[in-house]
Parts: sequence; C-alpha cells; structure tokens
Amino acid sequence: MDPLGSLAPGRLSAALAAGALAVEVGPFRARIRSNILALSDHLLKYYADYPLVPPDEMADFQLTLSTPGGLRRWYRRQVRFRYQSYEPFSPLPLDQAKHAFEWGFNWAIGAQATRFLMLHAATVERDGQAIVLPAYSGSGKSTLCAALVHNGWRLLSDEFALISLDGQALYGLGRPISLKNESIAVVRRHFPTAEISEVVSGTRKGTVGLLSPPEGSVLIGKAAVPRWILAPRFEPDATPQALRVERAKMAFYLSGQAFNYHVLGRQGFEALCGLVEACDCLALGYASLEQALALVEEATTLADPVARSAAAAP
Amino acid sequence: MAASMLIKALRDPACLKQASARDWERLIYEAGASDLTPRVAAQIDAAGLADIVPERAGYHLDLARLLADSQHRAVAVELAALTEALAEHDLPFLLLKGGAYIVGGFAASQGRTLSDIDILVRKEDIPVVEERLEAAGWIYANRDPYDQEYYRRWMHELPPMMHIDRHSALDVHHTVTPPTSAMAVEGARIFERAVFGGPTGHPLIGLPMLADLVLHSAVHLFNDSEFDAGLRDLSDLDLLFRAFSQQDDFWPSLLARAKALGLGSSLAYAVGLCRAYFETPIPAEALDGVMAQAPSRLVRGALSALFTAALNPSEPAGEPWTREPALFALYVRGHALRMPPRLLLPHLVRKARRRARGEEEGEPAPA
Repeated sequence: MDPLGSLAPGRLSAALAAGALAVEVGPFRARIRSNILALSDHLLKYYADYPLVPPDEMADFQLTLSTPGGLRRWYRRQVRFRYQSYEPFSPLPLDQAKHAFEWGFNWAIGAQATRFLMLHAATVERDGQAIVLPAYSGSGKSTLCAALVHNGWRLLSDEFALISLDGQALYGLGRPISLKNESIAVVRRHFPTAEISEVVSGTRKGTVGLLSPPEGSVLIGKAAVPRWILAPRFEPDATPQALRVERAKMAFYLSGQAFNYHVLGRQGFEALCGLVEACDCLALGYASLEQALALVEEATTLADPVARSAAAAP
Repeated sequence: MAASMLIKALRDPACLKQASARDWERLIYEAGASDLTPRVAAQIDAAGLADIVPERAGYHLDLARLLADSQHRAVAVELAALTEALAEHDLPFLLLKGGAYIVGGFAASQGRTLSDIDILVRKEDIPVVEERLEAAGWIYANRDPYDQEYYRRWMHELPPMMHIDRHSALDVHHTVTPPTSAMAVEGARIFERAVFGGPTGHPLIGLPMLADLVLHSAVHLFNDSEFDAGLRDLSDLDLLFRAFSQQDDFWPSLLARAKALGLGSSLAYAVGLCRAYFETPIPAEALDGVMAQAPSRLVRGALSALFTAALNPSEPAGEPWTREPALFALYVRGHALRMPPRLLLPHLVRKARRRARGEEEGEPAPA
C-alpha cells in the first residue's frame, strides 16, 4: 500500500473532501473526511508514512471534521468533529482543528476495542521488549513517554496499550505525542531538538502542543513483547524510587485504566492476567525527568531493580 | 431508504453475499449509528451466513456480540439490585422496553443493547421508591433545579438516576406517556394487566402485557423529542410484530388495547413505518383495524415524511438536507405534546441557550 505522503497536497485535500481518503494506523483503518485545509497539512506532516487504504477496501470508522455553517461561517469559525455519526464533543475554535482531530481520533480508537484489551497507557519498545506506562492524567505519563522516545526507545503509543487477548503482545499506533501545559517547556528544555508544534493556548486542556517522535523512533505494524509495567508518578518533592507492586494489585489497578475490560468479560480478565504474569510490575516515584529516566533504565536492565533502588535511597 | 445497507441487511441478510468492501463499511457505519450492530450480527448468525463476513467487518460484529452479551449480563445484575432495593420492600415494579425484552426473552431481545434500565412504579409509591433507591446507591445524575422541576412537572418519569458504583442509568416511570399530553395514560392501567413473576424471578416484578409492550414501544418512538435510537426502536417493533403475530389473539387484543388507551395513532405510525422499512407482514384484517384508528391522511402523510427523514441512517456525506429540519420539527413536536404552548417557547429557548453555552448535561471534555 502507498504511503499517505505519496499523494500531492492538492490530491490529498481533494480526496479528503470527497471522503476518498482512508489511512491505516496500526491495526485500525480510519476514513477521514474534511474540507479544512489545515487538516491536509497536518496529515502530510504527521501521517506521511502511514499506508493509504486502497479505494476498494473497507475502513473501520469515519472521522469527519467540518466547519459549521450559519453565522459561524463568518463569526468565530469553528471545527465540528464527528466519529461515525456521533459528536463526542462540542465544536471547537477553528485554530484547534488539528487538536480536535487528534483528540477525536483517540476517542475513536478508544471506542474500537475489538481484538485487544485496551488500556489508557503510554507504550514504548526497545529490542522487541516493551514498557507499559499506565497512569491517570496529570501523572507525567506523556512527558516520560516523550523523554523515552528521545532516549533510544521507540514509540508504540502515548495513549493506548493495545494488548493481544493472551496478554503476550503489544501493538503500536505511533502518531504525534500530545503534550500539555508545563510538560511542553520541560520537554523543550531537556531535548532542544524536539519538534513540538501546533502549540495552542486556551483550550479546554490548557496549552497543548504536538510532538513528532524523532525519525526512526516509531514502531507500527509489528508486535512487541510486554516486559515491564511501570506506573509513573511525578511529585515535586518525591524521593526517586522504584517499588515492586504485587501482580494482582497491578492487574486490579490496570482494570480501572481499561477502555473495554467490562465488555471483554472473561477474555479481558485472562488478557490482563497474561499481561501482568509476563511483566515486572513497579511503581516509579520521581521529582525530575532525569530521575525518571534513570529509574526506567535500572528497571529495564537490572535483574533486581528494587533492591538497587532501595540501596541507593538515603 | 432502500439504498441503506442497514435496512437491506435487516430485511434480508442474504443480500450481503453480494456486498463489496465499501458496502460492508457502510453497513458497519449505519448499524453503529443506530445501535443495531449486535442485531445485524445476530441476524447474520441466524441466517447461517457467518462465513461470508469479511475479516475486518467481522471484528466489528464480534465486538457487537460481546457488547450485547455484556449488557444482557448487566441487566441481570441491575434486576437483582432492583429486586433487593424495591421488591423486597413490597414495592412492585414493571420492567419496560429493552429490560423487558431481555428479561422476558421476547423477539426484540435479539442483539438488543440498552443505555438505561426503564422501570414503571405505582405513582403513589414514588416518594418511597426514591428513598429506597437513594439508600441503595442510585443518585440523580443531574441536580439542576430547573431540570428536576421540569421532569417532576411535565414528564412521566423521574429525572434520570445513576448508580454510584456501577454507573448504570435508571429511568423510573410512573406512567408511559407524559401526563399532560393528549395521549395521557394512567400508569395504574398498565399495572392492572401486567404479568407478574415468571422470568422476572419475583412475584412483585412484572412485565407489561404483550399489547402494552408494543404500544409503549410505539408511543415512545413516535412522541419523543430524540431520535438517536429511532431505527433500533422501529426494528424492535418489527421483531415484536413478527413474533407476536404467531399468536391468534395478539392483533385483536392489541387493537382493543390501543383503542382503550387512546394510542391508536402511535400504533398506526408504527405499523406503517415497519411495513415501509422492514416489509413487516401484517394480517389484512389487522391492518384495517389499525387504519381505523389512524390520524387523518394529511397528518399521517406529513408526520410519516418527518419520521422517515429523521430515521435515515446514511453517512454524513449522504445525509439528506431534510434530516436536520425534520429532527428539529420532531424535537419541538415532542415537547409540544407534553407542555402547554405558553410554556413551550420559554423552555425551548432556555434549552437552546444552555446548549449554546456548552452546558448540556454530561458532555465529556475531549480526552
């Protein structure tokens, strides 16, 4: 299948307007419909390497971004997002169109959940082995994920862990990493070469920006083996430490972070058990990104990271 | 409407043998928009056509089967909790709509999903029922004083409740139609003829008699302000008509009941649109009886056109321009049926302003 980037910009926007554009993102195929020019720039910038779905094949769902008519055509223009026929959030100001697309796309993926147990977690891979970073919003998951992809790890996803139903394989989606508020400055400070764009303030989530994973640091289309579950927690005055978490406890915690655990029923339970069995389960507490990276490095290279971290603590 | 893959598939799943990949994509889209994917999956299974489903479409049907199964399990959990909260305290209730189809094992339980459990309680029990439910963990999802007042004054149900642990939604009705509307029905009349015990597992928990089950479904579909699940409700009616027609006394009982309760016009729309959409077979005699209770030709024609536009399941690009105005007209009509005109306009203006400010209840922030 040809990559999206093989389309000339003019043909891309024509295909978008006609509903003739469908792109394969990991295991999902999204048909994207829009008459908003900024969106074709966005796709060319962040999705150029993703395969186009041939015209006679099916997509899983449709994402429609349109500009509402009426008065809104002239005054405070907006973007309206729809997943299938459903509108998960109210129209946003037009300058947030690219973020509306990314948020809406996440929403759509969260609604799929067919062949996977799907957790709200960042996932990264190195040498075929993967870390799952589950966390509540605001715990520093995306910041740590951004730091890891600048440190030799490849991005599977900054939002989703797609886990096979035996718990033994993780699948990637790639896509830009969403950064919010302070994390934009933190990532810029640590990684001056980091490419963060589309920074918009005053959204419902505050100031937001999109980070392109560095060249060659994305893994899609190939499964990785889950090896570690590291629950990150950033606290300004934390002592850096890794604490072992009982597998059963981690499974229970993860079930609360799952999009489709209740729908999968027994299969979901078995996938979750398979996952925690296959992984070292640790909670990481840290006060800076350096500490977090050091803890991850220890956790993923040492035989007994907890003993080491306990010995290092004052 | 014949161009809709969803309608074609529900009428005759065998037509999917000729479907292209893009047809399947449209089917999955349309079915999802109407909450009918599990029903399509069930029809395909029942017709022995599982082999013809392409892999990618199959993922969606698999998920839909899982979803319907998990919801049917959840209904049993909710029923057990309601039994403990109400029936065990001598408070009888009936299950309505989706919950009734599933617990009663009626034809419309096939691939039926539901967003809430609907129950009917005796009007005089309402204060005790509220107390009991709140003690058992059901809370009002929305405590806005205007909405609370609105429901209590104009509606046939309490404001929607939600269970604090399970987050399941519960609608407590005291009758089946808005009490101020032209088709007001005393809840006690539904109770009188209901069937208690049996599949509900408790002598104080009942299901409406078959005729009432159908009439309630029809009244709900054709007099509400929202049409999100309109096609699913119409498909429910299609399945119920087909199954119940096997019983000799069903149609006479339904016609007599519609007349007695004054719900003949809703029944006429239900029968008319089921025939138009799903080619539902209706015995000739019964059809005459239905038409005898139908509204005038002019009213019928105008409303049928509105319903048809509102029930259209097509993709956004193929959406006819008539859909939005039809939905709006039906929205206003749904409210007009239950409120006197001098209150209707202020109420709708208030709702519109709230929506413009983005305050409509329960809307999640983008994640």
